Formats: sequence, C-alpha cells, structure tokens
Amino acid sequence: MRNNKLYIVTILSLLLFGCEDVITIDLPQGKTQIVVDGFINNKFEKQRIRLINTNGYFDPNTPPLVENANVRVIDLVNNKTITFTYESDGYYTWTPPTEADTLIVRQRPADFDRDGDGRYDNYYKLEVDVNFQEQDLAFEAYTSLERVPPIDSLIFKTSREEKEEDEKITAELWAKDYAGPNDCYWIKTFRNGDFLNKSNELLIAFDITPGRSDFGDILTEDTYFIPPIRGGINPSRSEEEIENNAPLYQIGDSVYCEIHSITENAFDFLSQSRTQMSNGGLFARPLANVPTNIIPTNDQSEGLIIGIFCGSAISYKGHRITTKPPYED
Amino acid sequence: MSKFRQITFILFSLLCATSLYGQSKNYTLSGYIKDGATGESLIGATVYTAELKAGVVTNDDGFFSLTLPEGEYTVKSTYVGYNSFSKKIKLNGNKKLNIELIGAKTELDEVLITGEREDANVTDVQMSTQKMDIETMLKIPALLGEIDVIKSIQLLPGVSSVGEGATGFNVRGGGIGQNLVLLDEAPVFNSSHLFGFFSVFNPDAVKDVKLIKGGIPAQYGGRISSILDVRMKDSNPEKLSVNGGIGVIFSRLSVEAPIIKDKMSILVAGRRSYIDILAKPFLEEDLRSSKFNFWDLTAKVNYDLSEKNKIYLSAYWGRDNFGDAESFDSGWGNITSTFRWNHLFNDKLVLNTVAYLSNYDYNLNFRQNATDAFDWKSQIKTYSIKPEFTWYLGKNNTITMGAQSIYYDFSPGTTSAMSGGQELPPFELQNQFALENALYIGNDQKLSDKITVQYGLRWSSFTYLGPVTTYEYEEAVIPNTRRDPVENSERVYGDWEPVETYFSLEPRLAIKYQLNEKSSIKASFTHMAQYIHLISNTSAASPLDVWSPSTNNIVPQRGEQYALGYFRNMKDNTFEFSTEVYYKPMRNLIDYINGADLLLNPYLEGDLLNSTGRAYGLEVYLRKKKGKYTGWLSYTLARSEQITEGINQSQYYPRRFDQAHNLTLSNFYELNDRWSFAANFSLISGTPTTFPTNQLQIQGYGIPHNVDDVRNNQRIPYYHRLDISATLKGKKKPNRRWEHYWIFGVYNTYARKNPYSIYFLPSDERPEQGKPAPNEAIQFSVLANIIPSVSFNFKW
Repeated sequence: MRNNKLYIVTILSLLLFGCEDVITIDLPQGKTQIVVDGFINNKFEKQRIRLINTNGYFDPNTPPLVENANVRVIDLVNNKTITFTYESDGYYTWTPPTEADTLIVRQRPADFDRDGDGRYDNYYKLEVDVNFQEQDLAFEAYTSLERVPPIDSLIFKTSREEKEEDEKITAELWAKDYAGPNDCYWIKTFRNGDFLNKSNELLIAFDITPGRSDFGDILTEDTYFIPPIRGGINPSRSEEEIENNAPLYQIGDSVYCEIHSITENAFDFLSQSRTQMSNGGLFARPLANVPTNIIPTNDQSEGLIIGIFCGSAISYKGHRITTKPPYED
Repeated sequence: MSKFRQITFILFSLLCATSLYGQSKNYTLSGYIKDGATGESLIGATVYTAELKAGVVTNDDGFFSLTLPEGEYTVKSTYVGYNSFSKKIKLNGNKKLNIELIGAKTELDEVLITGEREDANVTDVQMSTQKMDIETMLKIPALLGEIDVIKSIQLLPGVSSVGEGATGFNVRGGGIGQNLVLLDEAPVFNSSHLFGFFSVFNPDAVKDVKLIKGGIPAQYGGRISSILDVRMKDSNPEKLSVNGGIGVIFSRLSVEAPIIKDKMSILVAGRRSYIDILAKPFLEEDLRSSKFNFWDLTAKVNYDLSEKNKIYLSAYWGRDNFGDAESFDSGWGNITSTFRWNHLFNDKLVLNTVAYLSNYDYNLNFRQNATDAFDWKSQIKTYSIKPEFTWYLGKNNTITMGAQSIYYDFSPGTTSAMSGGQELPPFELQNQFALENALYIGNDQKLSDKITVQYGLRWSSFTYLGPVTTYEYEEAVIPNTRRDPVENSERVYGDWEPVETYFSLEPRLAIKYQLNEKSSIKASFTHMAQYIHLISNTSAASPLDVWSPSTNNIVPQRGEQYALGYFRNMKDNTFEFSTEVYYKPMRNLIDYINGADLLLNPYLEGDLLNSTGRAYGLEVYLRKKKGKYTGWLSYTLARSEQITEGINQSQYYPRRFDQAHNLTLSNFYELNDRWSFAANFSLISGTPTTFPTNQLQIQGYGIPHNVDDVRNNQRIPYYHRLDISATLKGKKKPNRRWEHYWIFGVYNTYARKNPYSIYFLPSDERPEQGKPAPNEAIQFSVLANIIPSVSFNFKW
C-alpha cells in the first residue's frame, strides 16, 4: 500500500509540477544604462528620485550610482521648478517646505486632458541632465498624481482547522475603487514596519481587478476590489516556510497598508515587472523588457535610459492584531 | 500574384485536357474492399489487372472504380497483412466486385489496418505524408503505457513539439495553431487532455491517422501547416466485440455491436482517468476534495442503407476537469459530431456529403464564499457542410470536386462576478461570427507510366460578419507597443452584415516521376490560406487560449510550401527510404507586443503584431517494414524563424519550437508469438530561449533586462530520452474469443532531467529590506524521472 501511495504521488507530482533545478549559468553583462527609479507622492515628507546603473543579472550588490546629475521636477500647471539635490546612495531629494507645497493631486474629471492633446499624465515633468560615460545625456518624463480611495477597513480572520496550531490568521483590505475608467493602484503592505517586498507580493490593481480589465468602463458606482486584491496583502511564504507550517500573521503583529494611486504607465511597468519576475513553468512567456516612460531628449541619450517616473497620492490604514480574530465562517 | 495566375491557368488547361481522354468501349469495374473478418472497409487497398498493369487504390470508404477496355482480366487485390485476392473476370459491361480480404496472420491480436499498399511510398503521387496505423502505435513505448496518436506522430520526420507536456505538435516549422486536426472531418480545437500529456483520440476508436505535411490536396484548406486526418473505426457489423484496457492513469472500454446484422452497427468507446480517485485516500484532507480528471466518449454508427448509399454518424465528447470542489473549478473540452453520407451515382461517380458541428469551450469558476464569485466561459462553435464528388474518369484520371461552407461562432469570453456581496455588471467580449466558403477541384492524373500529377485549385473566401462593433487602431509610433482604438472609429454592424471579406486562390500541384520500379522523385507546391488564428504567447499553448477570426484588423495568414523528395524501396519493399527538402514562406503570422493582454481584452487587436515567417529543412526516413525486427530512423534538420517589427531589433529570430536536429530511432522486435519488445530513442536540439543580460533595480525589485532587446538568442541543452517496453500476449486458446496482453513499459529509462525551459526568477527567500532578492537561473524539466508502467489490455 505504501508503494502504491508513493507511486501515485510520484506520478501526480511528475505530471502536475515538473521539476525545477537551480543551475549556474554565466550571463555576460550587457551595456550599462541609467535606471530612473522615480516614485514621488503627495505626502508632506522628503521626496526621492534615484538614479543608478543597470548591473549584472546575478549581481547582488548595489549597482554603481549616478551622482552628478541635475534633477528637476517642473509643475507644468503652475510653472514652478522643483530642484532635487543629490543626497546619497543614488538618491536625489526634495522636501516640501510647507504642507501647502506638497505635490498636487489631479482632479477628475475637471482637468482630465486639460489641453486636449489626449494626455493627462502631464502635471509634472521630470528633467534630468547628466554626464554619463563622457557623454552629456538629457532626458525627461511626465506624470500626474491621480486620485486614491480611502481604505475602509483591514479585516482579520482565523481559518478553522482540525488542529489549533494549523490555524492561520489572514488579512483582507477593504477599499472601493472609484467609478470611472483606468484608476490604477499599487497596494503596499508592511508587517511590523517591514515592507512585504517579495516580487510575488507586489500587489497592483487596475480599477477593481489585478490585471487590465474593462470594469472601469462598465461600473457606475464605487466598487470593492475583487478577492485576489483584497486578500493580496498577506505575506507570501517560501516553500520551506510552508513545509514548516510558518504563520501568515500572528497575534501581536502590526499590519499597515497603503494604497498608492499610479499612472497607467506605471501600472504597465509594475505589471510586466511582476510577470517577468514570476515567468516560469509550462506556460511561461518570452523574456521581454519592461516598458519605460523616460524619454531621451538628445541623440546621445538614445538607448541609455530606462526606468519609470510616477507620482502617487497615498491613503493608508494600520491595525495591530491584539486578540485572535474571529473564524472565517 | 501573377505566379498564381500562371499556375492556375496551367492547372485549368490540364483539367480541360483530361476530358478529351474519353474512350469508347470501356467498362467500369467497381466495388468495395473489406476486411473479411470485421467488415471494416480497407482504405488504400490495391486493385489491379496483371494484363494491363492498370490499377487503383480504394478511397476512404474502401471503394474503388477501375475503367478498362472490354476484355478478360485477372483482377488482383493486395493489402499489407492480408492474403491477396485474385479472380478472372470477363468485362463486357459495367461490373460490381465486392472483395473481402482475409488477414494473412490470423493469429495476430490486432487487426492490421495500415491503409497503405506496400510500395505506396514510391508509387503514390502524394508526398510529405505520413500514415501511422494503430498496430504500429500499439508497439511504441508510451508514457504510462497509454498509446497516443499525437505523441506517436512526433516520432516521424518533420514533426516536433515544444516539449513534454506541451499541447499539440509542430509540423515543418509551423505553429500548433496552423495544423488542421480533423476527427472524422470535424475540426478539433484542442487535441490534448491534461494540458499536453495525452491526446483526445481514443486509440480503440481510431482506424487511420494521416498527417499531410506538404503537397496538400485541394480538398483540404484553412490551415497553413498541415492536416492531421484522424478517421474513426467502422464498427464490426457481424458480431459483438469488446476491447478494453486498464492502465495506471486511465482505463478504456469499447464495444462494437451490430444493430442490424451486416447493415448497421455501432461503436462506443470511452476512457476515464482515475488518478484523482486513486490518490484520494493518500491526500491531506484539504486536498482530498480536489479533482483532476478527464474522460472522453467516442461513438460511431455505420449504416449500409443500400448498395449505393451508406451513412455514418460519429461523435466525440471529452472533458478535462480541474478544481478543488470548494472554491475553484475549471473544465474544458471538445464536442464534435459528423454526419457523412456516401452515395454512388454509378460506378464512376461518388458523392460524399459531410456535415459536422464542432464545439470547444472552457470554464473557470471561483467561489470564495456566498459573497464572492467569478465565473468565466469561452466557446467556439463551428458548423459545416461539405459535399464532394469523386469522378473516376477513364483509367488515368480521378477528379475530386467539392465545396465547403463553415460558419463560426466565437465567444471569446463571458464573465459574471460578485465581489463583497455586490453583483458586478456582466463583462462580456462580443461574440464574433464568420463564414468561410471554399470551392475546389483537383485531379490525380497519370500522364504516362512514369509521370503522375496531382493538381488542383481551391478558391476560398472568408467573411467577418455582424452583429459586431469594430474599431480602427492607431498606427504604432513605436513598434511593439499597444495600439489604442482611434477615437470615434467605432462602427456597429447588424446581423449578417459583412464587415470584411477576404478571398484566396490556392493552387496545389504535385508531380511524381517514377525512376524505376523501386524509386521515384516527387515535387510539390502548395499555397494555403488560414482565416482563424490561435492567440497564444506562452511557450506551451494553454487550454484557456482563444481563437480569433480574421477581422477588419487581423488579416488571414498565408503560406506556400515547395517540397522535393526522393523515394526508394529496397529488398521487396522490406526497406522504405525517403528524403525530402522543403521551403515554407509564411505571411501575416500573429505576434504579440511585450506585455500583451490576450484574455478578456476587448481591444485585443491592438496587442497583436503582424509577422513574417520562413521555415526550411531536410527530412530523412528509413524504415524496415518486415521481419522480426522492424523500426525506423527519422532525422530532421530544420529551421523556423520569424521577423516582426519591433521584436529582436526587427531581425529574424528562431521560433520557440525551432529545433535544428531531431533524431528518432524506433525499434521493435518480435521474439515469439507471445513476447515482443520495443525501444525508442529521441535526440533533439534544445529549443531557443532568451537570457537576460542585466537587471534594473527599482523599488527594491531586481527586474530582468536584455539590453540588446533580442529574442530567443540562446538554446537550452539537448533533449534525449530512451523508452522501452515489452508486450506479453496471453496464451491463445482455441475456440475462445478472449485474448489479452500486458504491456510493461519504462519511460525515460535513464531518468534524464530533460530541460523544457530555462528561466530566471528571484529566489523564494524574503529579501533584506530595500534590497532585491538574489536572482537565480532555473532549469525546468517536466518529466524528470524514470516512469515505469504496466497496463492490461483485452479483447473479446
């Protein structure tokens, strides 16, 4: 009987799961490019834009930094230039002097496509010039800060299991996407202050769904995110952690969630990044470069700049689990 | 286009010329050839007269028609595995002759159904065609001992697959969606069970499998790469018989029974996998309710209405089910039904009318609790009618003439959802309708003892029909990026209102030049059009992939193929040798933008790119057909590439299934009446893949990046595998119908971890705050172990 079991389980796993082996491959590193990591927001706090180099795919170290750039963000509505100054570690920073100086969230639908050119991600313009590999490079990018819905609640539940030690505490984020098309969000979760930073914890939403969908066009009222997003704020466990029956959330944990509104460009960037970082198995897609919204403004910059510039409005809610949450049923 | 006009002109001139061949005082000898024991009609059996050295082969219904001058003849009929038949006939008027051939080796368990005359390889004008009989398939060592039509044909030259577990097959550098897979003439949209591990064809119900890789006759159209024509078995009209098998993963049972003796009979064959039931007691409680199974049911009714009318009705239902019973459920499957009426007007003119419907659908259902649910369905329905005349004109011409209409109804996606207790408005992609029509005419003409030509012309049209709302799409400023619909380009079409119509004139030509009795040279040219497209950008096609018609934005795929081959049989047809070269340009292939959104996307057309392909190769095939040791060596040297603006720096890149070398050695040895052995070895070049050159670190993620933006610039390691099997037949007892045999098999004998792909992912461990996870290269093997199996088969 035992052999039977072994045989069946083996066949099942062979047929359904295949076998993955980590192998060593020598990947020759390609030409170096500048990476723009430009996520800014409407908070009254230090704003950071990072410029670094690409590095080898297997290189675990911090890549070479770009430290000599001139970085400006221009408020195209109010004709105001904000200068970001180099701080350290590749970061160029600017802190709003007063709360009134924080970045402005675009109102819908009032200033949707205000100049009729079909673009609405044009509240802010990033301008960078830098001497890189003995060439004068210049590039720019555009963004707006979009509306963000409040988080209604974080709800915790305990799964009902035969043995108490198998019970798991899970969290759900309840928030309603605004009616209207193409609202994009990046939902970040922090457990005890630590960002859930695995690539498979990267949680984004296009209106109410995790991927692009047409629901924005057909929903006429504010609507809750669908379950894969609501339940997407739980930590992902490694195979080893699953084997060791590691908990998801525990009593005593603080859970803090933020919704960042993002532009469609940033959604595509993050969505394709997520795909590229989980692209395995029988149904893998070809490796393809993620998109960028950085535009070279002189010839020598062509092909040397990649990355993303995106503004966000942020809503948030936190909760500390002090007692065992109710059972899910 | 002028090239086609020329060819078309030549073809028509030839066709007109043939009618001048009419001769006086000729009479026709016609009839059917059947297996004397089972009543199964024999396809491709030879009938000839020694006196005139004139002969024909039987058609798909086992019918032949031979026109000869008045006189006395010795008529002979031969067929592989059968005793030959000979009879003196005085032909002084049109005559009927129904022949029943008796199996030469009656002690054999399996009925020999080969559908080939012994030297067909050399004498037929048709090239680039592989037939495989069930008997050969039974011998091939198979995964878990389950005979598989599609896995078997992959052992032949020019046929490959992207890897183990991948659905479908690739023919001469074509995509899997470019093969027309027909089951009794009805198209099968997904030919796999359990992703790609098993095919949907139940071997107990299959009579004959023919793969046409090139030189495709005019009666076939609609796909640009190949035709896989699977014919279901005719049931035994004389007595009840039962066939079955018990295997590791599924069991089969088929019953054949006469309804009206010698006139009407039925075959019903079913299979069901039961690995989930077997596994249930061993699974943890939370997995116990999970289901993963498939089943299929194949049925066929034959009815000989009269000497001149025969009717067949065949049907297939199959389904795969996956789910955990509580919150997730999914399923997919094909349904086909075919009605075929075979009518003889006279001994020279036959009408075959086929009507079919084919349905493929899948569903996905998530149900978390009473307040959250998501249901998703997709479906393709096709309906078709195809009358076809075969006209045996003189002894040198066989004209095939017909028409086909296909109506398509695509439902690419319908969803309904409830979220947090709130009913969401249904989200549906609009249905798409289309009508494909074709008229065709072809002739098999013997020009001289040495030269035979097969030429034909297919005229086809495709109309994308309303009701539908169409869009125009912006020109891409940067190639390989999403194109949005042009504002206010929306157009609404009413019922049956044509949106766009495409026409194609598809000439077909094949020539055989007989060098001598033992060898011949053949050449062919084929032009094909394909109006419906498989939309899939994953390395293996998934059951959730959709098909799209040609629309106002998607143009039909077109392809030509030029092939040249040398054919030779040796030692009284014991050895069969062939080698062919082909060149295959293809246009309007579908490619995909990076990050394309292929499912539930109402603006899918904006994510598709137009691509051009080319494939070329050399195939070698050497087979030993007789004796205790039989087997074959198949080798293919090939290349398949495509070019798409904006991908791979707009240069040609190898397609995902491109394999330079593909070598198969299949060996069968019959030790004695009870034991036989088989061994199969495959050696295949690694498929191409793309490696990153860099990473970009953004927001603490390490994202792979290929700075040169190339595609498929690397190869995964070689694939090789040895499978062996042994068959033990039960002792035959006189006067007992019961027969049985065991198959013991070992798949992947030396447990090679054959790579399916290599991909690059961050490690599973939690990274330090602010730092990306270390990246890893992962080699993925689908069947990475030795897989033994045993199955028990019986026949009564």
